[in-house]
Amino acid sequence: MKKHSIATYYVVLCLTVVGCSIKNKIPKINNELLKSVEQVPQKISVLKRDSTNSYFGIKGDIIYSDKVYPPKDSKYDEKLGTYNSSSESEALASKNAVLSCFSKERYQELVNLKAAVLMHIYTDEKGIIKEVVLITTNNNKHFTDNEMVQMINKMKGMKITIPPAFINFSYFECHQVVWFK
Amino acid sequence: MKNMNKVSIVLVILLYLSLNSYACLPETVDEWIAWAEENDVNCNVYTSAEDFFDNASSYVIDEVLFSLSQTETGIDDMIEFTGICDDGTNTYNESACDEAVALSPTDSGDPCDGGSYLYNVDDCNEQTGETEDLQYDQDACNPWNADYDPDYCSSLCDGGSDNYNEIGCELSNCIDGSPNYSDEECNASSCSSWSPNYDEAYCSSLCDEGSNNYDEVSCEVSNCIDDSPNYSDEECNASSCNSWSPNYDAEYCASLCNQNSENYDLMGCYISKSSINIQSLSEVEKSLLKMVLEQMEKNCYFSSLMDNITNVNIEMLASKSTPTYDPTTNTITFDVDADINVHSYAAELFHAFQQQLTGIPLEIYNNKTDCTGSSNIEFEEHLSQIVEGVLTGSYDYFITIGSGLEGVDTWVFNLIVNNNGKFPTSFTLAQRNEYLYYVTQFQQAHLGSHYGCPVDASMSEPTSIFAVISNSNCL
Repeated sequence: MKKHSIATYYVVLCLTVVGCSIKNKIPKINNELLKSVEQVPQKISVLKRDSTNSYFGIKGDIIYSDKVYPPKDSKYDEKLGTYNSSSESEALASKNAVLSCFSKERYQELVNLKAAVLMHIYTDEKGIIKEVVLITTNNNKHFTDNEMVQMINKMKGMKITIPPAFINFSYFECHQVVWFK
Repeated sequence: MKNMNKVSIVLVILLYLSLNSYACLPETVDEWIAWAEENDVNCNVYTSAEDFFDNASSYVIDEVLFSLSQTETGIDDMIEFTGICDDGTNTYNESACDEAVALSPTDSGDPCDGGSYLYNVDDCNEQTGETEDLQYDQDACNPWNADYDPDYCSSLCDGGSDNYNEIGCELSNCIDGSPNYSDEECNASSCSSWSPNYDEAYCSSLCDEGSNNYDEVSCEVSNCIDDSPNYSDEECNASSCNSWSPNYDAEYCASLCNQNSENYDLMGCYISKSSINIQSLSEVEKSLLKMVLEQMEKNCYFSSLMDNITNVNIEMLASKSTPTYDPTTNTITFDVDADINVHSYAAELFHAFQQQLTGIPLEIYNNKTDCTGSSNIEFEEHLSQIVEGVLTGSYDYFITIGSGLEGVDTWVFNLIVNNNGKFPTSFTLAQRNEYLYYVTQFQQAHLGSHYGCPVDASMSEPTSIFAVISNSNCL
């Protein structure tokens, strides 16, 4: 009886495989794609704390944010203590990416709370945002974990034009604040 | 034997399930959408199914975006993924998105280059309250957006474009409807030349309350708008500036309306309000400076800085290595045209304001005897840029590099957050100590240069920043 059951499973299995193969004629299966489907949901983590703030990020993203900027052994003009770029469209794009994480009702709620988020943005040498660290208002009670994950993921992959003074660095760091007002 | 049978059964079931889930990929577009949604996969730009299978592993994104279309040319071409970039003019531009191809499997977000953007149907639906799946319509433009300003024109005269916040516009672009978005020339009337007799108070009254019944003769005498003004008695300032937006700035918008309606001389206005002397600049240099001034005028902090500065000379001098401010002549000097940008101009203008406000001893600048306090002055200038960046985060990125400014932006952020959304106009004792801590950190990082001169502990507040903030309408 058990042998019959096993045999039945094998028959069903083979028929299914053959049927699907014929039906779809998929030339190849991309295992990497399938891995992406199975990925574990991302979780926000406290990367570090100081006397005033907690710094939130996604642990799996951490590449640059625990390093000193500019990268050690980099040549840079010391007068460039700060540098405000004029890439207004990119700043607006990133701001809108953050705002798009919220419904209009939720946005208004955050306005009433006078919420804000300070973002430490890290890009690779080409200006592609790779990781974002968030510092938020009210001891981090204004935003849910899921909202912080969304904000970070919205930013990642966007491109920032690196100012000429910084193009030779192995990565680039800039900061931006989004006020809900 | 019994155990072997159990193991076999388990293996068969697992194999069965895995092969089914791996092999039976969706066939139709609807199935693809459902599959992607169910598996929380974000589609990307692919020109064919083959392209998708070859490259999709590079794009592991957490949401389903996109429009899909189906062709009937065969399995490999069964599904065509198309994308729309945010330039508002085309569908997916493969070359523009080359950067994204290099993304690792953990990357997500916008794969397009140069500000291109993937439209997120789900989020837009959340914003607009729509529940049905709407496809992106690049021609439709929903006016709701944090920065959307339908009245915007990039220039007040000589023609500009109205492509204000195109990205933001398209982000909100999920509802089919009006107004249709276009990038048309606006404010085509010619700009008039600056006049030294410009009277801002007088000119601003010309278009008050929808009427321009001004004294034409007086205006021509004061030469406030144009050498040969083409004035009429038509109603001006009739257009409404009202548009709901969280960032709507009524004062700025109203000023644009006033200026637009009377061929307003923007450059003359800025030069007049800043009391800067640019006579030695070439036309190209004046044009560059005009762009800088236009950008700064839109920024509440820089606008206040310009409002409060007087009698500063602007000139070019090739021998200078970097933009500098000379307090003896009250002159900002640029070395090359490329230095005429917001960052450099704002930095030197702030030094001019420091000198104007506090009368900084020239010895500090000359660095010949005792330069104590130079680090305080330079730190405050750097802090000014950071305060501007934090206050007006929607305008600029600001960058802090490791030259003794670590943590300053977070400190400024906390100062504002803990002061009901405003930067303080005076410091408590604790804040003064914190300020001196950061001044010292900055000074220590620059030992050997005049940034590293001894700290003057009596300069324990950023008084010039306080003055700029007090006179601004920031936040």
